[in-house]
Amino acid sequence: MNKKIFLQQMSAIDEKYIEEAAGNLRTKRFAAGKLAVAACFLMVCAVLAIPFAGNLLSPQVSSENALPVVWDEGEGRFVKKDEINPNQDSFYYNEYRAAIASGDYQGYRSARVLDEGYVGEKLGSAEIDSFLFYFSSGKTEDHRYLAAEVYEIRGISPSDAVCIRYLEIGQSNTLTHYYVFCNANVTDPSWSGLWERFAFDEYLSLSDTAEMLIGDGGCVQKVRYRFSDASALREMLSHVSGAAAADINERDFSALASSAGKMLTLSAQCFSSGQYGTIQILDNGYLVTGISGSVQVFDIGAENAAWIMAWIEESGEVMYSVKYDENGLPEQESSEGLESTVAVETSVSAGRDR
Amino acid sequence: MEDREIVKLYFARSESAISATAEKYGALCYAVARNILGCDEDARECVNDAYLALWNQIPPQVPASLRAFAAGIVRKISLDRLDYNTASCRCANTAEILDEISEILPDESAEIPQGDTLTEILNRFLASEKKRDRVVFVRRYWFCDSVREVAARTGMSESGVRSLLFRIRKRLSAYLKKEGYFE
Repeated sequence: MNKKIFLQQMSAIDEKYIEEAAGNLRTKRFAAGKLAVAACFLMVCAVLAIPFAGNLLSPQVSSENALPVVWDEGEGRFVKKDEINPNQDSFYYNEYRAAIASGDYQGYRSARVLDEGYVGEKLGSAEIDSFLFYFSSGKTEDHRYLAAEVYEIRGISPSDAVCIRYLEIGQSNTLTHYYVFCNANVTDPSWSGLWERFAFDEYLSLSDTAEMLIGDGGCVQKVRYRFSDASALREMLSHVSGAAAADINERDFSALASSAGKMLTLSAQCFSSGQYGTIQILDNGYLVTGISGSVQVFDIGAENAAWIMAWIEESGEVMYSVKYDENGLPEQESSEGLESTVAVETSVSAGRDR
Repeated sequence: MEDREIVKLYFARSESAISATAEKYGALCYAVARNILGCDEDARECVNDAYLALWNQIPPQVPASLRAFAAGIVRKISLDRLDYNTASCRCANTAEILDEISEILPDESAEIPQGDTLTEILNRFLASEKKRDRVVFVRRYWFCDSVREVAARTGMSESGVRSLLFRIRKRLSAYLKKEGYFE
């Protein structure tokens, strides 16, 4: 039994050694290299290929090997829902989705929890269709229609997004939280219009890291930056303007991305649309994002794109840089160390962290 | 999604935290549980138990590395589960690992001190090792990878990995004695 105790006590070794061993995968690096090469050409297309970006970008996709979990109001915590028997394969995907099924906001899709401080006036009642969606089969199962109250989100038109509070317990909700439901059909003719529409000044939060893909002949260099002042970047984005490009279905995004020499990817979350996602800026002057719930492309101009990229390069601290050859293999790698330490920013405004 | 964003979801008590964790680290967690238990069914249960444990532990805890934190919880739960497994479900790989560990321990009756002592000594030992050796050791005895998997991940031959693990175990055994870990 001592052997097992020994093995158990090993669990607490320094996380940096676990990170080191977890990251030091030859096959993984190779895959990452290939991915980086492909990313310039495919990333934008992949994002845009999904009609409702929130589904791709929001964190609601459960993974392989994960049984659903259900909120137990009595326990005040999540418990396993083991009566759902997934298919027997080791890998399956499913996701609880919800959509407003009745009333003025029918069709709005669920997103994430909103801080109570941002909840406005009550707008009415609605029925929420809560269902389990199986990615593997494309089927939906287990529909439940739950009563809910609909509320305004402060500063946001109900025609763009609302929030709801459930009156009944379903598969993945509580009775106490407010959930944002956004209209995935909303588009705006300009970036500045979208900024105002979803009150990004108030509701947009940017990660303090960014990734730059730099095309260099057949090679691709990936540089990850960390910067100290994400609010400065948000300020810059607020001053950018640009008209929306033509309908996404009519555009050849593969060509758009492949004609770019650099692509900056910012991780962002928008609390008014309830979306997590990215804001991608290409050095040929395009900004691509699904952060409002519907993917749009804006022509912000090459000068603005260069301005933002230069700010990242000048003020950002390089976390690591990897260059991949034509075959997707890493040529050289530099790093200041392991991945950045996770820290919860408790100082951000109340709507951003609860 | 970045780890810090997922941790924020836990702090926001959003159920998306669990699915985001599962999406990003579900495969890793499952692999760790599967390595230890050798049984898909048990591994799945352990991974789900680990998600609930994460939900209950964050907050107040703020993991420096969500990957290591999640995998660590799965590892603990899976090791706890090992006792309850039937012989038919017992993983040959884990049995082999336990045998190898016996080479580190002076004998089965040796007193294993409780507390953080072993962890501290292991951290110092790992710090003194070369990166390649450290990775091989951690992959084998923390992630409980099979020798074949370690070989595939590091580009070494299986016999090379076995030989290297043998030398590391010898060094660790000597180190533990030198540090006075065993009475």
